[in-house]
This record gives sequence, C-alpha cells and structure tokens, in this order.
Amino acid sequence: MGEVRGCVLVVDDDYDIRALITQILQLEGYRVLAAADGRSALAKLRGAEERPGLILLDLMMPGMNGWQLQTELAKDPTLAAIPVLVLSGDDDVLHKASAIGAAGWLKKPLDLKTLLRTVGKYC
Amino acid sequence: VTSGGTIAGRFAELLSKLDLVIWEADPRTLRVTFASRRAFDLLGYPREQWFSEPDFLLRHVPLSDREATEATLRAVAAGGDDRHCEHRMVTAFGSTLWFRTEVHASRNGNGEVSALAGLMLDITDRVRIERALADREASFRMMFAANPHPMWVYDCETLRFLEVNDACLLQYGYTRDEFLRMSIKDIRPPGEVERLLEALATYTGESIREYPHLFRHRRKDGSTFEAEITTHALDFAGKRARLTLARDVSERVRIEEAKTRLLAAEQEARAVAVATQRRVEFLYRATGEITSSPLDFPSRLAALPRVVVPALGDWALADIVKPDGVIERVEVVHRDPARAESARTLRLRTQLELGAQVGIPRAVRTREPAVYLDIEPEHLSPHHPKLPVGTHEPNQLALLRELGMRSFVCVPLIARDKVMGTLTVVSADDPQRYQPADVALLVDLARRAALALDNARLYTEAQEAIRAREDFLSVASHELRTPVTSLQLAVESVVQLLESGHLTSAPPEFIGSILEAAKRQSRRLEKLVEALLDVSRITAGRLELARERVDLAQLVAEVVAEVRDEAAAAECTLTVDLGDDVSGHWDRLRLEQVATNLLSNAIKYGVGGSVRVVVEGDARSGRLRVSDNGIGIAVEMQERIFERFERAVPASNYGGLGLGLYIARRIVEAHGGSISVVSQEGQGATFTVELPRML
Repeated sequence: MGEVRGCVLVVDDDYDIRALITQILQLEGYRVLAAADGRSALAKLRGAEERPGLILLDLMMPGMNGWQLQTELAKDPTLAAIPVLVLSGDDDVLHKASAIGAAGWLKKPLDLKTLLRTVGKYC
Repeated sequence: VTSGGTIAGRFAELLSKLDLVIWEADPRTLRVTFASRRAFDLLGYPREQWFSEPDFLLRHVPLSDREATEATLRAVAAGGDDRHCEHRMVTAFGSTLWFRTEVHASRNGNGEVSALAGLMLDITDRVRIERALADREASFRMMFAANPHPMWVYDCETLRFLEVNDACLLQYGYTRDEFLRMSIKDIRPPGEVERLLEALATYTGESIREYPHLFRHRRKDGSTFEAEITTHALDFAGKRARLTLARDVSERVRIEEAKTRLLAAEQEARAVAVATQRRVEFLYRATGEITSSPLDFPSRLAALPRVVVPALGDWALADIVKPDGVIERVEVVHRDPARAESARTLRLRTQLELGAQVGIPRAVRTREPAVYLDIEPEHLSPHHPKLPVGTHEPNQLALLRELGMRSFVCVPLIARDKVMGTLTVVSADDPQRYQPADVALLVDLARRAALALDNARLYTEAQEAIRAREDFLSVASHELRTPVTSLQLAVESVVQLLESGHLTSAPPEFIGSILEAAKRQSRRLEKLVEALLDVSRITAGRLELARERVDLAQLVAEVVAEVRDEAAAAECTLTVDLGDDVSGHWDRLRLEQVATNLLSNAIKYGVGGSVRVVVEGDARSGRLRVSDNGIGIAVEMQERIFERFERAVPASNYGGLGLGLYIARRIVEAHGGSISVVSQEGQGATFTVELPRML
C-alpha cells in the first residue's frame, strides 16, 4: 500500500466484480479506470489523462462486447499497444484469449494473489 | 349292194378304210350274209366265223346288252322302221368295244322284208368320255348333296335359290320346297340385307371365285348365326348363277371374340403393369431426390414441389403447418420459367384463412387429400360459391388465375399422427387432370415424403437441442462463475487485509461495500441454483403450486421495489400503473419469480430506456404487462424465447441462463394462464401474462 503503481482499465459488465477489482487494485496503489462495456471503455481510453498500461477485459458484455472492443483497439495505433488480459469463466479462455491476440488471461473465479501478481508484471 | 362293178368296187374300198362295219343278215335267222372288210380287222374274228356262226351278231354282245340288241334287230326284221341301239361287243382280242348300230330293213317287190342291213359305228371313245363325264358329274353332285356345309345355287338376276343341299335344310330349318320359293335375301336378318346387296355389287361378272365374306344369317326359327360365305360364278341350265358355300363360323367368331377380349384384357393388364412400374419408378426417384436433399425440414419440404413438376402437374407448392396451426408457404415451383416471378410472389404473399372449408386448410383439417376438378377462371373470385382455395384476397386470386388453375390436389404430409405440411399439385389447363390413380400416387408420395420430412425435423431438432445445450453449458459456466468471482475476490481481499494487519486501519465503508457485494453475489448464486432446480422440477413435472389469495398489484409493487437499484444502475426509468386489488388464487413466490424475470429482462434489454409495468384485471383474470423500448425481438424468435436454453440475442452480449422466460411460461401455464409477447426488432417488447383468478 502507498506504493505508486501504473494505471489499469477494468472492463466488466458485472457491477460487483468491477467494483471489487477497482477497490483492491486501488488499495495496491494502482490508478484504476472502470467501464461496464466496450463502448464506455473506448470513451474512457480516449478521454483519459493518463493512458492505462493494462486492460483487464471481460468478454461477454452487453452492447459492445470484449471481442468487438478488441477489434476497435486494434484499429487505433495508440491503443493497440496496450496489453490486454482476458478475464473469463469460460473453460476455453486460453483459446479465446489467444484468438483476439491478448497478452494473457485470468480464469474466473479470480484468485486474488494471481490477479495482483499478473497485473504487477505489466505495470 | 354287191362287191362287183366299178362304183361298187370303189365304195367297198372306201368302206374298208372307215371305222365302221356294214353287214347284212337274214331277217328270220339273223345269220350274217355279208360283212364289210373292216369288220374282220376291228373285231378280230376271221371272215368264215362271221358267216359260219348262225348267231354271230348276238353271240359276241355281252349278256347285259344282248336282250336289248336282239329286240332292236327283231323289231326291224318284223317289218318296223329303222332303229338303232348302242351295245358292246367283245372282240377276238378279249377287249370290249362300244358300237352304235343302225338297223334297216330291205324289202322285195311285195314289200316283204328280204334282208336286215346294219351299220355299226365304233363309239367306244365317245362312250368312254361320256362315262367319265357322267362319273365326274356324279361325284360333283355328291360333293354338293353330301357336303356337311350348307351349299346352294342362286339365280344372279332374281336372287332366288335354284338348288340347295341337305346340309342347308338342316342348318336353316326350311324344306327344299320352301327354299326354292325363297331368295337369298330371306335368310338374313333385316339389317343385313343392305350389306348383302353391297357385297353382291362388288362381285364382277368375270370373277369366278370371291373371297370369303362374313354375314349374319337367320334360320327359320328366327335365330341367327355367323356365316362365312364363299361363292363361285357358274352357268346353271343357261342362267347366270352362283354356287355358294356357307360355313357356320359362330363358334369361330365366338372364340375370336373371346381371344380379342382376352387380348384386350391382357393389354389392359399390361398397361396397368407398365403404369404401376412407372409409378414405382417415379416414387423411387422422387423419394431419392427428397432424401438426398439437405437434412433439414425446410429444404426437404421445398424439394417436394420440384420433384412433382412437371411429372404430376404444371406447378406445385409446399406449405408448412406450424405448431400453432398457422400455414406458411415454403415453396412454389412452375414448369414455365416465365411464370417464376408470379410463383415467387405467390410464395411470399400467401395468407391462408385457416378456417376455410376448402383447399389447403381443408386438407390440413380433414387429413385427407382435397381434390378439385373442373375449376373455371371465374371460380377464382372472392365471392364465387365454387371458390376452391383458402383465401378471398383478390390479388392472390388474380395470381392463381395468372398461374393457371383448372384442377388441383392438395395432400397432407402426415408423420407420427401430425400434419406437418401439405403438397399441392396444380394443372394449369386440364380440368380433369387428377383421377383416382393420380391421387393415390400423390398420397403414396406424401406418405414417403412425410417420413423423410419427419426424419429431417427430428434431426434438426436434435441438432438444435444439442447446440442449445452446449450454449447453455457455456453460458451457465459464465453465469455461475461471475458471482463466485465476486465472492472470492471479496473474501480474499478481507483475508489479505487481515493477513497484512490492515484490517482495522482500512476505511469501514470499504469493508462494508466488500461484505455487501459478497451478500449480493451469494443471493445471486442462490437464485441461479434455484432457477436450475426449477428447470429440473419442471422437466420432471414436479412444479407444485402453493396457492393462496394473492393481490397481483401488491405483489408486483414489491418486486418493482426490489429491482429499483438494478434499474437505476442500468439508467432505466420505471413507470408503474397498478390497479386496485387484482386478487387471485395463486402461488405468491412463483408469481414473484415471473414478475422478477420479466422486469429483469426489460431492464437488461432496455438499457437506458423506460420500462412500463401495468397490472389490471377483469372479472375472470388478472393481467401483468411489462413493456420496454429496448432492442426488441425478431418475429421468428418470438416463439423460441419461451423454450429452455433459448435466447433471442447472443450470449456474448447478454448474460443470463436463458431460462427466465421458460420458467415464467411454465409457472404461468401451471396456473392455467398464458404468456405472450408483442414486439418488433429494435422497437421494444411487451410481455403480457394472463392469469385466471380461480377465486
């Protein structure tokens, strides 16, 4: 706690998951942006003062889902470079993550230590 | 006559060269006193024997002729006139010759017979010819008289019978006298006389024999028979006549007729066999084409009209009968490519009146083929009493007239006792195209097609069920892991605070929010598990209702209060119009589930919009209506969303198990009520639950 870390964007349609990850990462010293779907995630990325160093992305979401967001990110060179970690409960998360060119993946339910260790590798 | 003198000598010379014998004899004793020289050569007896034998003239005449010959000689000798007789004589060589002997009496001055003179002419050749002729005539006569077939001779001028044989009398029943008073017209039935006269006119005078003709002849008793007539021209006692042979061929004609009938029967049987074989081949080919079409119900149903055109009609159409009884057109095929556009329009535009007593609706309801023949174009007008189709719509009827409809058959496609669809085959120009054999063939084809269609349907359903289950498992794992993720994160973050010794220094509202989240997610988990259990109960038929008096308005008010936070989070405005005391005898908890599911869906799919909830009632039932202005539901999905694991939108965008509407429907149905949706894609949806009050 208290240590100054980078900026993380959390994209998940589930309110509690979004809120908990935000709070936990904030406690660890990260600055956290949160979005409930792809569209608001894009808006947050484009309007952010500080460009996030990592995106935690849920795939199944209403409106613009994770796949669609990743497609949009790939079109924007400034955003395409941001590593993406896929968060999914799907048994097939490995394939789905590599299919969209994600940097890595975390399987739900999330293990807190694994979440913090993985996020720590990127920022 | 003497042998002396010049003239006498030359006469004797001449006599000796002729085949005749001259003799002279004593009129009392008949002893020969003179014989010409030729006599000795001809008969072979020596000269002396002629004069020495006192009875030479009669001795060598065979006994059978002797008496008549002697009588002739004696009569002339007794002073009669010249006479002649024909008799045989046995020669010295043992042969017999025929002679015609002229006998003449020579008289003296007193007029007494002084000598008998005879002139014997050898007529052996003539007699032989005459005898042969007589023999032949006798045998011809016998052939006529004793012929087993009726024969007659008739006069070509008068057509009267001139002669008939015994077989004729037997065959026709008339006596000979009766026959000879009749003409050949009298042995025919009245209708045949004209034919006879026509036939006679063709008999030219020159032809001797005419080819056989078949006539109907009549007996005296009026009975008739078939007679085969052969006729020959002949001269009969100086008259132009015909000899006719009539053979009774009734039996032969009867046999030939039987043969003809047999042949016709055989040809008919053969035609039936060929037709049957063609039918079997057609069915085999048609069934092959259907079963080789893609294994899905619509493709196979659409293949049917293509199989029957043009073999069984000018155009054909296939309709599907949906589970709710609606009849929907799948395919229209016309043999004429120029009509393809009209056929396509007919496919897209058709709206059948399900209650119609004719056409396709009739076949669906009666489960029997509906056959319509002799259709006139004017029958295809909205108010014609003979309108044969299940629509009154003028544009559709005009389309049918354009495509041509003089007769048609509609056969239902039935499998596992359900009418799945219909096949309709139409003839554009033949008002009598569909005879029983064609209908039977179509029914046969429909039976086979229905099996192929049913297989396709089962396969499609199985495929869809498998897909739905796979989707469900994927969605369920996502849905279950989401609350578990939150719970785990909540618990682990508290543990971490505890382990790092920061628990007491952490802001209380932070700890509070973590625990609130944990509580919410465990409740969510419980609901998910409950939903899964509900599905399992419903599937097992164990959905039990705990009925009590419930006010639907009050119940919905409570549910609305519970989802207010959810609505606020989705930036949804909720408007509520709840009637006063809409009470019924219902299961409170189950109806809460229904209301919650409908409201959650409305909020979920109507994000950022407004949701309107209405509860109202009448004497018989209570009604809950939930409307949103969200993404709406495509028409083709509106039935399926009430099925297990179904959803109208991809799970990648909208979470949820896809069980909410299924559970809601089963709960409402268990109450004896109904649930329905009215929606258009992109324009929101209104779900209506109707519950009988059961008070």
